[in-house]
Amino acid sequence: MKGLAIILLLIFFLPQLAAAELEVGMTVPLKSKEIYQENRLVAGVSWHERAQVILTNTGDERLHDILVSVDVPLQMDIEIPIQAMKNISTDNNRVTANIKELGPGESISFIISVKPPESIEYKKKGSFLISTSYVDASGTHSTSITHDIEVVPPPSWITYATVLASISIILLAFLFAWKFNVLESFTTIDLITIALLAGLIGVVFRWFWQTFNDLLGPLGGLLFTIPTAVLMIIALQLVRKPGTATLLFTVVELVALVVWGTNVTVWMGWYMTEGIIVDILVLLFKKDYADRRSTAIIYAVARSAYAYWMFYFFFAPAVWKVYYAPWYAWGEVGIATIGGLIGGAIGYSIAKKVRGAMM
Amino acid sequence: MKGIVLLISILLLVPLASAGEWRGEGTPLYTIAEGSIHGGVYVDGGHGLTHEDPYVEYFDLPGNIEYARLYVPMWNYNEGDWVDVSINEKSLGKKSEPDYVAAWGVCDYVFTVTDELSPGMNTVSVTYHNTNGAPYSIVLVAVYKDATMPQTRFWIAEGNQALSYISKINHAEVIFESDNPKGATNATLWTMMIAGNEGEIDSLYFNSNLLGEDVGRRKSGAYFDLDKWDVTEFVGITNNTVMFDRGEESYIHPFNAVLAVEYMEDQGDDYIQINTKVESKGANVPVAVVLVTFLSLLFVIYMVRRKK
Repeated sequence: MKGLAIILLLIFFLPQLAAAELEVGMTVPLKSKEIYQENRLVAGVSWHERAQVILTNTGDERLHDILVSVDVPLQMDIEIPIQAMKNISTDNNRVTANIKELGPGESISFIISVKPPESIEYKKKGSFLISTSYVDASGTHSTSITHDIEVVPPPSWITYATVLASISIILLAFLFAWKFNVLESFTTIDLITIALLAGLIGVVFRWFWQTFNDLLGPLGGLLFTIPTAVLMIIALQLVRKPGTATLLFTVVELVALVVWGTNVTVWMGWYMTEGIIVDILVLLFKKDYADRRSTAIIYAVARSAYAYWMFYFFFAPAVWKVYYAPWYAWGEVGIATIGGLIGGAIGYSIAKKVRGAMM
Repeated sequence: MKGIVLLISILLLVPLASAGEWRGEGTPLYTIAEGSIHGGVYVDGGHGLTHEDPYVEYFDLPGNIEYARLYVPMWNYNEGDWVDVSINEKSLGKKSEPDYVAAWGVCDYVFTVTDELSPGMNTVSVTYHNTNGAPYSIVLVAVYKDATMPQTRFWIAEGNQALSYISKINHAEVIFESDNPKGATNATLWTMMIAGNEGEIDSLYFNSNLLGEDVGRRKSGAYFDLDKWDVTEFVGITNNTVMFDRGEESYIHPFNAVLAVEYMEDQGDDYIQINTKVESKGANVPVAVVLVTFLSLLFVIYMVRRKK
């Protein structure tokens, strides 16, 4: 009797145990997740961003007549790139794909391309609605999921505001320099020293870093942050005037503009802030021009971390419309901090010797 | 003091010892293949710099491929890098040396893949070693035979020239040499460029006719522009010329120009002529790098002597 009951229970539950399941996922934008932030699109980019819909049969039954529809949010323009899977069509904001069958444990994916809106005023959230239906031994099933994304504004108004801020910083710096006769306090030798050190940073080590950054793999940034920190500390110790760092990094960008054609004119103010931060620290430490190893390290770390933070969290999204994955961006800031640490420590020793030999 | 002079001397020598790292202005576009065929020319590709690995692109091809070139432009080439291209899961083997390289390592790996392709869907996959770089795209140019189609005269140009502020090169021109008879019913030009930016206005001309402005604007993917132009009304009866004008672009690299002119009547026998590949020019160190290092060294010597 017990045996019969067990058999009846097995018969009753077997379809459920063997039930087919279709797992649906989406990757957008279809880029390296190690570098770019997932589920975030930038409005105003000139290309279509690719999105991949992945279907996996996690059950142990073969699924048939799978119909997938993807409702694309925010009226984004849709393109279907050439790909292995056929039978994909679009109608207004809906993409439909037909898949004949999918075996147990198998996966299939297809790609759609969507163009983020040209312009939005504020950050917007949207959701792809992915609906699926399929047939298995027990009948027809349907499921749907939503995949949330965020579209951030094109940098247009942010850009204008930041350009304005940049110009304001330049004007303020000039005003400050004029009011307090800052430039007049620099001797000809000081200016030549700053120009040559800026040339070494902006030309020689920039070239060196661009050429050899692969040697250190993900730590390639150290090839730039360490020499920059060293040269900055040398500049501080040799020149020993308020505004040295600001002038140094302004000249670095001017040199880059002339030699490499870097288009930085409207961003110059922000690049100057790398130096302004160091000059403020010098004043806070009572005109300590990196005369102690500890202050040299503090200045170098502050400059390096700030410069990389600016790049990944300000310039990349605002100018190049690229959102890096937070862990990647913070990792790079961390590496820059290490570069500053090493550069500050080495820079202090080198600067002392240079100062001893030249002054 | 000696240590400092030594340090700067080493700095001065590094560029000389490692000459070849600044990749130079690159290779101007030239015609690698040309001919006539009853059939057509297929040009397609995608999809911009995404750092995907593997980087995959699909090509839906007609049958009877007579000649095909596959292009894999990459960012940030350095010695030791490689790509491994597979077509329909068959590896072409690792390739280390790019065929064309320019500027800060913008390079192009090129493959003749005539015998590797199949009619219908082809999957091209690229895996690579390039620590801070990645493919910009995969582009396929294929010439196919179809006896039912009219005869088409074609030219395939390739290269990689850095039009840039540094190189002071503002134009790139490619001339498709021939005496073309009248009676072209259709003329199509494809162009492929790398590293263009929207808002930095460049221009593209065909036989001095403006085809477009801000053509290099990352519309086919990040830093990648593949365009198709109907140039029927502009096609000439003698040499046809494509000109890329850098305009306001800081950097832009023309990689390909492909012209296909279809005729109502046959213009002789079908043929395909493969020209000799131009080797990538030797690289050099920017003058500014040597100059700044040298001036720094002079300044240090002056300051030390001054103190003494």
